[in-house]
Amino acid sequence: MSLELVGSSIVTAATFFLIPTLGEILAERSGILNLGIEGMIISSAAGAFGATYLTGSVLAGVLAGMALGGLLAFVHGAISITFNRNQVVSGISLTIFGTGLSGLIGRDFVGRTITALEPIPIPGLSAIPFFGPVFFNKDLLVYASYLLVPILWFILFRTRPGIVIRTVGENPTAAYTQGVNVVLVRYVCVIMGGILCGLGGAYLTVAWLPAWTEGMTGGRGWIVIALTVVALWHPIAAFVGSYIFGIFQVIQFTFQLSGIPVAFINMLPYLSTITFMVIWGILLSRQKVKRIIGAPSALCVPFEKG
Amino acid sequence: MKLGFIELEMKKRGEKPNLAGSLVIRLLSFVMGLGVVAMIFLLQGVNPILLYLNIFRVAFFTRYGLAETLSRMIPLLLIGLGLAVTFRAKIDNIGAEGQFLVGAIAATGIAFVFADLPSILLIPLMFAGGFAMGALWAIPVAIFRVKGEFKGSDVVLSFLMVFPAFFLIQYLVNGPWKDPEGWGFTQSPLFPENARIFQIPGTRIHLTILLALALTFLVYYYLVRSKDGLPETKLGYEIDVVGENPEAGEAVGINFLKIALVTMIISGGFAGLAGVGEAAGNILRLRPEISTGLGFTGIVVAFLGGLNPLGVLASSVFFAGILAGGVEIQIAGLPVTVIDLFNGAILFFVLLAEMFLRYRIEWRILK
Amino acid sequence: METVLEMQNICKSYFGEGGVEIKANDNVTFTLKSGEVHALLGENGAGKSTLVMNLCREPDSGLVTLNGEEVELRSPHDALEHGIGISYQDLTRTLVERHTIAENILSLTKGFLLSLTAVENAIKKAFIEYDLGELDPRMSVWKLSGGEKQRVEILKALITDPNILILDEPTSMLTPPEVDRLFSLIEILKKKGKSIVIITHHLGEAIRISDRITVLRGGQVVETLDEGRVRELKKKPVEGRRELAQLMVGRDVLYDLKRKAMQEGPMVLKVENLCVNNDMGVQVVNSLGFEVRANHILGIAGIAGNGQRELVEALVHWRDVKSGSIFLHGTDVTNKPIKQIRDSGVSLIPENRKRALILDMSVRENLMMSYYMDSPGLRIDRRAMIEKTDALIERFSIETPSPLAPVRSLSGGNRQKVIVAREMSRQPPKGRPLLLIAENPTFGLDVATTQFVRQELLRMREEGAAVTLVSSDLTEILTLSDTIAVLYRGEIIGVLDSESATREEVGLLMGGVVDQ
Repeated sequence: MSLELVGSSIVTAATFFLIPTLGEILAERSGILNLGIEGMIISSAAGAFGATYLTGSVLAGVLAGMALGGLLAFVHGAISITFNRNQVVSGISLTIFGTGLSGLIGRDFVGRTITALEPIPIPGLSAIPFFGPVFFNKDLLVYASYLLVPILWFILFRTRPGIVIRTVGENPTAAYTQGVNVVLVRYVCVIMGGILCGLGGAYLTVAWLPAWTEGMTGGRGWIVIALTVVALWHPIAAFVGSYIFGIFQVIQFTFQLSGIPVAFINMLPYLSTITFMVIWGILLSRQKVKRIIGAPSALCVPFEKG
Repeated sequence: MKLGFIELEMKKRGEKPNLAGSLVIRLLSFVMGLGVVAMIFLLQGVNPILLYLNIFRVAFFTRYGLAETLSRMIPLLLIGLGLAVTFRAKIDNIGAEGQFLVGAIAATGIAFVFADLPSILLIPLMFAGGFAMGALWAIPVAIFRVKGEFKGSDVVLSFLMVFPAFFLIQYLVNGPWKDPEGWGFTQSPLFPENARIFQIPGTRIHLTILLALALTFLVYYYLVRSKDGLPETKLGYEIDVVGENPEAGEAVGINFLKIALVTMIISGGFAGLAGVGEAAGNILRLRPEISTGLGFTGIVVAFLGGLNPLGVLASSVFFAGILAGGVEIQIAGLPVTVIDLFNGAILFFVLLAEMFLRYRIEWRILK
Repeated sequence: METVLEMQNICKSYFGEGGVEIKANDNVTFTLKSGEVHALLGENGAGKSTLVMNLCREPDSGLVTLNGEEVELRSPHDALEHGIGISYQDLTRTLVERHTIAENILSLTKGFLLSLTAVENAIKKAFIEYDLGELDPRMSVWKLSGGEKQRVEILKALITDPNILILDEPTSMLTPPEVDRLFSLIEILKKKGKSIVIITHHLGEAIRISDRITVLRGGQVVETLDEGRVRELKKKPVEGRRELAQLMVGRDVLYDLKRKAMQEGPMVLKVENLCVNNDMGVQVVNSLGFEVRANHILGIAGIAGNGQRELVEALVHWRDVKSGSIFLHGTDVTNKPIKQIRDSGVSLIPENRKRALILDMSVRENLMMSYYMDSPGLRIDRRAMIEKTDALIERFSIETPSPLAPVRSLSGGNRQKVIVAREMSRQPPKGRPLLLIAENPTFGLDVATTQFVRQELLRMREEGAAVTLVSSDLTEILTLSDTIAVLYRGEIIGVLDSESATREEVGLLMGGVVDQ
């Protein structure tokens, strides 16, 4: 298999991780832990595929996916923000619910085909040896992901909404007493996070593997949660992390001819994620770095006024 | 909060509702979960009332259905029981599915390797092995929960570990443990006679049910039950403390890691026992489809049961009924994964229900 | 002078467990005149902060009027819009430790883009304008001392240029010279026409700085002393304090404690060359050494943020000791497991009550935390526990509807009594003296409970315990200690015998001023 092809598949796999990770980073930066990523992605994947199949328009599919992701995130948001319930359990409920929902939404579309999003080569850039075909001969959603990274970075670190969001995630009372509407900020971030997860789900069925089968995400949504931590809640690191995890996903194919039983090859992405995450998690726990980098201090902590 | 001309306010309750009140609220969350899913069914052109009645009828009022319900209850009860213990300590074991699977693997391996032992020795050995394997799958999660510095570390690790378990079964039944007479089905050979747990003839209810019930009462009595406001054992007390405020616990010398390990071993072990039961008592062989998401349904079973073994017993019956009557869902033209819709919706409402146990809504009409 | 703020018949209640209604503000009327400094005086729990918080949310009933117009202030946002600036008491809730000073002051970023340089310059100017000392706006807040954080909080409130400034316990973390500067600033603001409310429980400060004083007690207004009365108080401050104490708690002396002369017993705690890091890896306890003997109270005085917390945590191994040794009854217990240290006879009343209490568990279960492991075997000896906890509730006068009531439903004072009861009644092995470490044990408590706790500490001392009292309350240190060691920037910069020490001496040392 040519190196370019490998590189291109890594970009594809990485994009699938990157977009939802950026969404979850946004949500967690405001203090809300949304573990329902797998449910949001898979429901949106089904919905996007169905919408594209029914309307023939890829745009409709992408919008449907984003809407579905946002809607599901809203439910989690209501439970976590307005009702102040346990965010971990709420996220788990969302995953379970979303997985079931995906089966229901997608049941009429199993085995159907659509015209997927075509890659569009960027003139000039796509001619660069190796990097050209790998990075600049991809579909619009991949290009969108390239732009989302600096945009999210800019918003978080160079704008007023960004510092407000970060303050809400670190110490919501500190924001509240300075006049910030904490509830609104958190809702916006959670829903935007859901929309981006929906975009990732749409990417799966409308660009990457234009097809729908039950359970096609194979639990990869959970890898996004690990990625958010590995990326230390920073969009640029998320980009790097997504590509590392993309390599883990693709690497299994290089072993396919080696005679190792298929089952173990299938385990590889999960085992590598586990190993990476465990090492990272333990490194994070070393006392020196704790207060300087790490999760937003108010993550997963219910906000009580007064 | 204002809705039109009605103003709603949440007021903290004066007293905790009594047992009857809590039961009603929990039952209500079950019903509301069903209600939400009913609306989704309506949108898909399915009559939910008819469907629910059919499920209920099949699950509890037909001979075959009732037997299935009891049979499905066994693993749900075991898994839910173990999960209730860890959730009480606020350790989130989402990987019971994987612990269940490796329990089944252990049972299969022991059944074939020690096939010459008499049942009286072999079956306990299988259970012991299943418990051990399940516990083994759970221990890393406990450690990572304590040592890893991020929220949800236990959730993510326990879930990710399900996949290696699943693929391990695939490897085994496609390779070394493949059934030579299986006509290409991916499954292991049938368990030898003396490795099979006794089934009530004509049903798939196996004696593991006794083990499950015994453990239910043991866990209830020793870890949960309180008299005069005090639990029975030090461990029960320590689990409660850790679940409420691990830092305060550490301050008086309760070792968080020890409690995490103990609860996860119980939880993983029980899930492993459930795996042994399913493999050696129900389908009598090892197959990748041995679990239909039991480990995840178990999560909802545990929460709906209020993390109390007696409640888990009741809620495992409810969910077993849904699984048993599940064939009706397929008849209605819906995919079986719809069960996840129930699970998710019910869990959402159980979460909300907890809020109603603490607060009540007061409403008044504005002028 | 016209009235700029009027709060009429304000009622605000909270609901405890058992349907009990706690009236935090019971028909309170409070007015603020333009250009005045009005002190809101009362003991902890009297309802002062609650009253002022009603400017950021709707009270249960009552009227708020600004400049003659009725207003509804529903959130801090509304308060800010109406020109009310508040400097809050609890800095952990209003400052983001991880962010820089500039990032903490949100009001300075307007529009969409964040220009940190512009914000930083504005802050530098403001620090100079308000004479709040010079702090580098690019400094992360976690690096700041308690006093510096307090100054940032005050700056945060001032920088929005409010007409009404509310300072909630602004001097709690300030050294005496810093307090002087703050009071000068208040005078300047007055001249500029600002109206200021200062919430305090310090009698002397209230007399010194205010034009009028409103005394709150048990949620109600006892009296509002007008300008004339306050001028009288200023002329005779000592009598003035007595008068205010009488209004505040019904006695003319707040506390009545007698410390008997006692012979020192054997050495219980010995600390040598102790070095401890804080959460950021910075060494905040620098080669500390001291001893505590039985029948003796060592008072470690210091303004919050000078290493006290880390020192206390190191003594019980809630935090690792970087280097140095801790000896208990002659045995080295440095970095030994928490349980082992406790079992050797160490009790701790921590400042962070969240680490000592489980709010949603019952009083009985909380009291049991120190005793449940005494039951033999794996079970809990219920009868013994019930006996023990009932005895503690009685002995320490813990007010609770029942032993099974959740601790959350107890008042702040009673919650502290639970901790005190549990920790003070422990029996070390082999009849050895107990080492009791008390960290700011009366912080935020009402007068009656404060009296009770201090009395109990003295009693422990008489009964043979070795007490290490870590406190930023100068009165507490002077009243209770036999020996006073002053902690400044992680080092003991002075050791005084309490008989001969004066308030001024200790105060200066606490501020880092070493004479000669």
